Amino acid sequence: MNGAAGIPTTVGSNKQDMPKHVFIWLVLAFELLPFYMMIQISMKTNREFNVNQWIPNAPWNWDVENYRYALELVLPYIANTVFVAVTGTVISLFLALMAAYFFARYRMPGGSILWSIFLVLMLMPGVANIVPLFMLIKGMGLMNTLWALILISVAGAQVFAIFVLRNFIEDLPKDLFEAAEMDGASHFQQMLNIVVPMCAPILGTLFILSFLGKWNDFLMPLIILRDPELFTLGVGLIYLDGEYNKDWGRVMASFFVASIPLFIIFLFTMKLFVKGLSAGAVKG
Amino acid sequence: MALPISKRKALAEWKLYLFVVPSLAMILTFSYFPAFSAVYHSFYDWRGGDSKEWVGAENFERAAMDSQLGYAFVVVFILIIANLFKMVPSIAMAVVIHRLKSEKWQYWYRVLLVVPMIVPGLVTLFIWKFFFDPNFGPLNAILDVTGLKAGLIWLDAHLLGWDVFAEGRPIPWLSSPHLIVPSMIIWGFPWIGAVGVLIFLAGLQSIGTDVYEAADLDGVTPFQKFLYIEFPLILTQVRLMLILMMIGTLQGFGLQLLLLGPEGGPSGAGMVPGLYMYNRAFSAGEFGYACAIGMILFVFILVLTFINNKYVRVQK
Amino acid sequence: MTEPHAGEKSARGERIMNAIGFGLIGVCFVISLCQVFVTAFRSRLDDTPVVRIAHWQLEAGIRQGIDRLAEEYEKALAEKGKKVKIEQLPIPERIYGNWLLTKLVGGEAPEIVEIRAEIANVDRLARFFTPLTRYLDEPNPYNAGTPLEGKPWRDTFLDALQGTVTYSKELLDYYAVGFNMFTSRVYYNKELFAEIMGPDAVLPRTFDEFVALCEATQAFGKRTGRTVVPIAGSKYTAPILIQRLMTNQTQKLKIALETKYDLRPSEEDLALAYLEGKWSLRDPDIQSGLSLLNGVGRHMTKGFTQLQREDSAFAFLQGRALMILTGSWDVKSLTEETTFPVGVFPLPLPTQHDAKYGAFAFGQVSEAAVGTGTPFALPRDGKNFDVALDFLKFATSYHGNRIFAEESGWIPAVAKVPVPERVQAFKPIVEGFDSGFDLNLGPEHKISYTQNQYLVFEEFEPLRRFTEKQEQDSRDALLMDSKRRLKDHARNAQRFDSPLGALMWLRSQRPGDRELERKIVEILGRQNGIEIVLYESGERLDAVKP
Repeated sequence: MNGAAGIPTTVGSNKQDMPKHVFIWLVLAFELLPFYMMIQISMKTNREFNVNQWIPNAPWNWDVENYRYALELVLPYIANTVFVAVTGTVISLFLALMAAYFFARYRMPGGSILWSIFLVLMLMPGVANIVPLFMLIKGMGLMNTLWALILISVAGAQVFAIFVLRNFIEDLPKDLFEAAEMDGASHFQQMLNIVVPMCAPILGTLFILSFLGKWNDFLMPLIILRDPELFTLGVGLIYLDGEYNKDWGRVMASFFVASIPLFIIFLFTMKLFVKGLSAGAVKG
Repeated sequence: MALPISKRKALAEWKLYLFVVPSLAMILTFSYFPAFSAVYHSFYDWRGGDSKEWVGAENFERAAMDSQLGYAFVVVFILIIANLFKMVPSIAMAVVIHRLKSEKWQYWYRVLLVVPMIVPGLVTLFIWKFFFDPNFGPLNAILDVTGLKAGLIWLDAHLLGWDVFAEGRPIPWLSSPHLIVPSMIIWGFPWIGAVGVLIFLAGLQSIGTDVYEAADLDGVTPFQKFLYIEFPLILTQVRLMLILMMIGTLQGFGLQLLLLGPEGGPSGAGMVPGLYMYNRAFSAGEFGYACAIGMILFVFILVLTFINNKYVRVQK
Repeated sequence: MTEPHAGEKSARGERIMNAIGFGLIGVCFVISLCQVFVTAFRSRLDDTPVVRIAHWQLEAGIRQGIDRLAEEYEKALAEKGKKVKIEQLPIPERIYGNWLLTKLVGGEAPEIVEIRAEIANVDRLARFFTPLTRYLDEPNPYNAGTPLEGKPWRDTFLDALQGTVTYSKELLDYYAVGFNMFTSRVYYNKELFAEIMGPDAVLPRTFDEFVALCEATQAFGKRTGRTVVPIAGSKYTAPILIQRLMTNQTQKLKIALETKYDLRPSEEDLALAYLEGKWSLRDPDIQSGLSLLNGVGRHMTKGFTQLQREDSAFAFLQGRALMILTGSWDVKSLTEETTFPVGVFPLPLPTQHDAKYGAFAFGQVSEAAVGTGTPFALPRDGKNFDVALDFLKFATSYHGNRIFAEESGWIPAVAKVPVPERVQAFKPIVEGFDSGFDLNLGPEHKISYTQNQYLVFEEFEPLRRFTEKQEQDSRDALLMDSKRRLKDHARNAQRFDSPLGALMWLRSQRPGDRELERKIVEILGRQNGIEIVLYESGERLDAVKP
């Protein structure tokens, strides 16, 4: 990527780069090894796996039975996880957007106190909260529901999102807002019509980050959920791991199926995500 | 910056306050309330039911004498130091990518780096668990084939005396108390975090080519280039990652929970403070004591963050 | 990339990609939304009572056994016009304790749960589970037409549910019923055995013969250069081994230590006796037990205290071990997955005639005291209590238990139910003497000696090192266990205050009610029983502190 307006940021020559390429590919090989293992094992039956662990089977020998089992097992988990992740992320971003708008628009009286209430949370490690949170969910009668997971994750994601969004909104030109106000737009309309379109990229990145976080969560589901129909991916995979006689082929196939949704989504939104992270990093 | 506002206009704009209310409500309920509840309950002998018994500072006294908790902190500090070293590959990777001539390659490598991130964290974890499997895992197979295992056996016999590396016996990575901490350190080889690399790269972008050309003219070696040009300029990012890493390692226990189970593995060798708190609450049912541990952990992290802020200053 | 035209195109292309990406998420979301709501509505509309039964028995055959029980039960009830659904919740053993506790505390426990010793401590039993004593006094209606008809439900079990998990001595109540019995045996590889000992060899019947077999195996390994271990071990089989060997050597010691003339000192009694100095790890009985452990441990996989359960099974299945000592619960997994024939024989232990170890034993230990396994209890919070209880009655009736035993291959727990062919060799051997005690005297103590037990199996001065290290650890751990027990006793005694108060008030309103009187007397009796233990143990503990 270019730095400012077309100034090249790279030096050296292509020949000098050979060792660098080698190094990078070596590292990448290790990084992608788990991926490779997962795919090739998922195509074998357990007996085949016992015999040959490293080299994949020939394509005509590939065993789809594992995938049938995996799909049956994992799809419900994926559905639940998508529900929790998307609902949680959407609600979370919506609330964060509103709060960030509040802080970024004007320095309202009491605003700095409220801001510090939010900021302090960034320092507070959430680890001590798990136990009382558990009892709180019980008290609210939300045990064994997906909504409990959604609410907890919404609360957790707020602070970071508000922090980032506030910076971005403050950078927006003020005249846009003034013009809208003169046209008689309410704050809510201003937010929707000005902020959302202009901040779309960062919103997208935040969406993906938050989605990713909720997708991987397993701690809360583990202690809150009881019924297998409600399991998210996190918990479901844990149970899969506890079997005595592990059928590795099936296990790997399940892992693969569990990765597909993320894979597809990332494939399409890759650039956005990478750009967003870089931009965010510079600001941070 | 947010615009300043006069008191009169603020009154007229009172509806704006409504914007912050839902968010505030969420964090008050789900973040602040549990936090206060944790502080409150750390002074009780609370088994999770409706009955609790005031014990004052007894939980904290017990924590001070608790050798398992002390051990857990030792483990977590070892992990922090290990993670410090584990930051190096990410920085190295960022530097190497940054120094490539071809921008197209730079871009594609970024993409390739993010690809492993696609695999859900849990799946990576379980695949690594599979790697550690003594009978089936590739790790033992690699060690055997490359002859490294013989080296480990020698080490064990002459230096360590652990009796875990032996001929004909699969190395019990996750079931031997001695090997737990090494397993946690090895985990995630080659220790490149895509997010980290991207952040470092972003920092490196700001270095202009003239600096490099000047360095080339002066005959500076690549390593010196790193030390004097690149490293100082990414120091902000490094500091950011450092703080995140420390806080994350201190309170993290998900890895240990999934790899080793709530007991911290064989004879609790892999116990970290977060896991110990979880263990006390959800395995032993001692919720009050768990809250006390959480408090101690919180204070620790707070102190470390302050120290970090004060002493790791960055000059622009 | 620097041309404006190309830049625009790539930016638009990028936007399209992003749109597709987020669009896909949207589609997935809608699909999952439908699924979630369908599930939610289905469960709300469908008011069939659901009974969930949770357990950790992931071994081969068990889930099928319970499935079949569920099928038969649902069918039987459907014929009577009632609809129910039985759902299994198999949870991995490693996280079961954790999982169950969170569900119990969180108030969302399944209707039937399997319990084990650590979970079934007095505190938790009293808090979370419904006592079953009342129901066990009545006959099991599902036994009509069988030889067990008319007998109180409790007496239809082979051990009358007297085991420590099913019956709580402290609370004087029964809390669980078991589905089967477990004994442990030595499984052996018949092919390998013939190779080592010759085709006409006979199975070892005394302890010396057993040791000789192990040594022959070691020699065989050296001679042929094959890695063959006499006994496959793991941290899972270690407690079985310890229990067998230690209880063999502490038979006399246990009798010497008992104080209540019931020949059954409780773990609490033994723990307090240790703290009072009445016995120690240096007693010749204990040392002999440790030496016995070391002697047998030599023949197990090196470093076995660190191996997982799957590792020892794996070694045996691959033919790298001649024998494996585990329970009848593994019978399907270990006999059906092998390429070689597998046999079973009981572990011979030193008798009173043994030259080296006989001094401390009365004789062969009887298996008559083996309690029922897979105990299932009913949490108070469970929703469909009546159906759950009824299902348990069905499952432990003559017919039900027989179905389960056949399907799962496990020894039945109900009297007179025929033992399936493949577990005949596991039938408890009832001749012999009462067992001694092992070191499992409390949860903290178990943790403490588990951490040190690997020392017992080492080569260099194992007994001395273990004893020195463990002595103080035992003292600390047993102190903690005893203190906690006192707290539990106090709490449990207190628990009876409310019902007692209520009943006494009722009595003042309804003088002369015989039923009320009976209840009050019964509860008072229980509370007094607990208080007696509380005060007695308290005094003993107080005397120990300095």
